[in-house]
Amino acid sequence: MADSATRILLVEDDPGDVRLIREALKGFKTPFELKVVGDGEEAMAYLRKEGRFAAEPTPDLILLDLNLPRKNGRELFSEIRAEPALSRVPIAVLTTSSSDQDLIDGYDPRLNRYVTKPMRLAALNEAVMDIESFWRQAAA
Amino acid sequence: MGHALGEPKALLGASPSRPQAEEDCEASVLLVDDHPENLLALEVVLKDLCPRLNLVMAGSGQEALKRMLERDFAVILLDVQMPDLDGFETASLIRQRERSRHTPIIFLTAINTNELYAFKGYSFGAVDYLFKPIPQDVLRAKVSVFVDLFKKSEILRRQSQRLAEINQELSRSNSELEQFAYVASHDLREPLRKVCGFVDLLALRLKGRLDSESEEYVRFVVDGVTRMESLISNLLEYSRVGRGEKRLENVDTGALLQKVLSDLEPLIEESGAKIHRDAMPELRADPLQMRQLFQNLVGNALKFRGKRALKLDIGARRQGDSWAFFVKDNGIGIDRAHHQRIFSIFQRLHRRDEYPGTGIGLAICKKVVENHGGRIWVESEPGRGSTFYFTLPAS
Repeated sequence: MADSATRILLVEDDPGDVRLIREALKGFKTPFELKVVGDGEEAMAYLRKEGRFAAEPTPDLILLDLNLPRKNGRELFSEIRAEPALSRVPIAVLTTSSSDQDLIDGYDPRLNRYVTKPMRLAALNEAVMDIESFWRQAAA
Repeated sequence: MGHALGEPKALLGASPSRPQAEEDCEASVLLVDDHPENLLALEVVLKDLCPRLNLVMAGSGQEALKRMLERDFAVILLDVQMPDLDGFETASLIRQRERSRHTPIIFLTAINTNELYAFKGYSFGAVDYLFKPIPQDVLRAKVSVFVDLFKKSEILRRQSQRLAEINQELSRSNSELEQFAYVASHDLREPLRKVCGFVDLLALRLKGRLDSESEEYVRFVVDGVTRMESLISNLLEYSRVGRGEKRLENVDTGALLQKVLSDLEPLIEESGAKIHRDAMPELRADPLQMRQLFQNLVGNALKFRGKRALKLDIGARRQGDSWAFFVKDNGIGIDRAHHQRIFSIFQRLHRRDEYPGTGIGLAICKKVVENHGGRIWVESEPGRGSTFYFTLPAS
């Protein structure tokens, strides 16, 4: 990869959460470029480079919120994983509930990480650091 | 071809939906004879037998079958000798229909012993015979037995139907409520997390620029939100247990307790607690729920420990086909008046600044134990420690 910046795709419909995650990503040590899409359908169009996303590169890391309108995060996750061109892209699944944890069961833990969104900002910063080390392992 | 004497009486007004007494129940008796004068005679004898009795008359076997489609009868009085379809033929057709397979039939016949055996092959359900000339009191007595029986079983049927309805309503509203609690606590967390995140962010931005009072406000907001969050996650836990789902596995309760104790290690160290553990059994249970149970009980012992050095004694004794577990502490104890209510949700006995908590922990314990078919109780006195007991079926 010629481009040195890590391309991160954030799938999140809540502007507040986008803002908080953006803030926490400041702790990322790797230079990165963040793209945000607001729902599952848009995410799929982006990843398949359809329409206005034709020129977008495949991301190096996907941050996927499970609570999405239209196509929900669970469906989106399986769809991404079913797409051969996307099957090796690391995904960090973000959710509020530990009851969604079964989603990544049976998937390669090196490429699939489950992250509970914490209440406090400090904990969110830690979660993002954890995501970064997950991404490093996946990319290695 | 016989003919009917008068049309069957119209159905009385709709019967009350939930009769509690026999008087509220109506019953119908079908009289079948091809001679109108016989029908009339039967009617005269039976008409004032009991309240809410309908006498329906049919002049032939065919007509009797038609009447049977309209309602259920307590008993059928069936003349044996009729042209075309005779009494036995009619009876066998009645018996072939599922709905009337067990409707009692009384054959009305002139004495003829051979005739009496004719219906033997078809004798499902109650069959009786009356020989002409029929004594009035015998007729009345026999019919009234069947009418009583019909009314009683009708009441029983309606009551059990009503019970089934109530049960269904109850379980539906229960599961709706639990689903609601689950979704609500799930969705309530999202906005809360945002409030907390942005207050943190705000405090970070304004660091050093806020006066001490404003800094306190920020702390109050964070406190409130954190408390709300723990309430919600406890509620979520409670509603999850409340849904009664459980995954039964072989659980080594000793190993499980060890895990719980190591999770609570920092608290145990801080309290300087001395913990004594007995050998503990292995049993069939939901491991997650068992963990919640032990975590809450040990956690409570650590929390309500009072001023003395905490001593904790945990073990289990076999009692017939179940295990009785105990978690015994020497903490602050609980007044007898509260021994029941501490197991209900949101019941707290202390001010928040004395002992923080949401009042859900023991309610979760109770649900877990009851989910597994056991029971939980406490023996305690203020200042003399508490022992929580619970039973679980042995595998």
